[in-house]
Amino acid sequence: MMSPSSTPTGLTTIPTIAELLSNVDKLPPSPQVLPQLLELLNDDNSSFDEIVQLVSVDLSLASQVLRLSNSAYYGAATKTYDLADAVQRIGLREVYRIIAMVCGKDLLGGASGALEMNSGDLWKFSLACALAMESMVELVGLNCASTAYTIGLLHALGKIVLSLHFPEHYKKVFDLIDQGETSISKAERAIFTFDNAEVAGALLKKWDFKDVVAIPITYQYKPTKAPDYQDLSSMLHLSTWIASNIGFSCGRHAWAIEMEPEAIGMAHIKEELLHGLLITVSEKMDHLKMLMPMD
Amino acid sequence: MGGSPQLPGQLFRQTITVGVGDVAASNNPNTILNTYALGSCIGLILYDSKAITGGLLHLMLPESSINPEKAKKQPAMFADTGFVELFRLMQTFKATPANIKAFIAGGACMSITQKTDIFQIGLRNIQKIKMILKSANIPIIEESVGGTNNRTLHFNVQTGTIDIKMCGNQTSLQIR
Repeated sequence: MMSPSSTPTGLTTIPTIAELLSNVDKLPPSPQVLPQLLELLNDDNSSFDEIVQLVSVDLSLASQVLRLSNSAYYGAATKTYDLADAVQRIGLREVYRIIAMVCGKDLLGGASGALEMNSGDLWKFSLACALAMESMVELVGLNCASTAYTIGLLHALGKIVLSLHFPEHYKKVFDLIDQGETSISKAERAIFTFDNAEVAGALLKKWDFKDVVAIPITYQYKPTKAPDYQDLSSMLHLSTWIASNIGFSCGRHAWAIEMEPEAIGMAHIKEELLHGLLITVSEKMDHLKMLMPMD
Repeated sequence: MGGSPQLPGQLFRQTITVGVGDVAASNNPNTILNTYALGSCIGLILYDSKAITGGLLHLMLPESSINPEKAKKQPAMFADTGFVELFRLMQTFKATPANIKAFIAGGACMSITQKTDIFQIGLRNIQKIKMILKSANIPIIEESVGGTNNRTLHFNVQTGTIDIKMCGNQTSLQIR
């Protein structure tokens, strides 16, 4: 039984994050293969066969990997119908990108009336963040492209959870933003006592993602407060800025955020390079349309 | 009653969607020019109501000097090179420079306040395009800029009507 806590708005009672996440009926489906695959990719001792075996367990995912690996995006001259062959052709990192993209579409692809988002909006925004994260870690020479991609892709999960549980309350969140210079994080805290970033971080921990994914997502609005992985937290902070600037921000008041100037230094990225990243990520999103239709 | 039957204009309606870093112009009165998700980007509409010629530019950044190579391949990405391209297209479609009027939208603030908008790209885009239009002696008839929301534009070349959608609300104006 949930023990409700009161909110300053006095609207209704709001459960804690733990209580919220115990209600599995109102949670998005867990992408079980993702954390396991990410761990295998980051483990030098894991073998190619282990990865192929893990992917082949989920027939739907395996067939999508096969289908997409045969697409014009990868420039394959001949088609393959063998998963191991497909993985060998496009490489493990690309396989992970395909699987993360497919899982991300399942999790984030729906419309949300509460957030005033159309079908596919949040998924496209999250993909742009994923590409921005990947580009940034490559730019600064960090060897964690798949992890960075995952962080970008799943950073907005909390919005889905909150909007599923409290569609009515989002009107109050938007009212608070309308009333003054209030960020979406502060407005959510005033209504729910926590923000969507905390919910996403807790859900990812519940789904067995490592801290390297969960912490940057939890501290995406306040990267300077992150207890660890401040560089990745800062990059995520900047990735949402990049994705928004190239036209992928979605939902009402998606831009009601407070940028932390310290994030630039903590991400080890110069401002001029960030402007260049706007163009890079925009081009990558255009290119990605060859792999998967977005409209 | 002789002659050919009159067909409604909607039958021949042409819709052109202008993406980020893209530009289009037309003197076909059945054309609607659309652009979506203008955030810090700027949507610049130029219109010559006498020639019934209109154009739309969706620019992302103020200065092409940041990436001259990109500016050569895709001039509409930047305010300076994008304006030149749109102005050239307008003249190709018989617009008279002295008759051209402008409307600008977008340039939203990527933060709740200008103070915390660390790069101020929206603001810089607005300032740059206004400076360019002033230098070209093109008056800005209307504008819808700033704020923290995305905008979508639908521009009817025949009537000069611009529909602006923001947060589910729609406003309309004419640029004649």
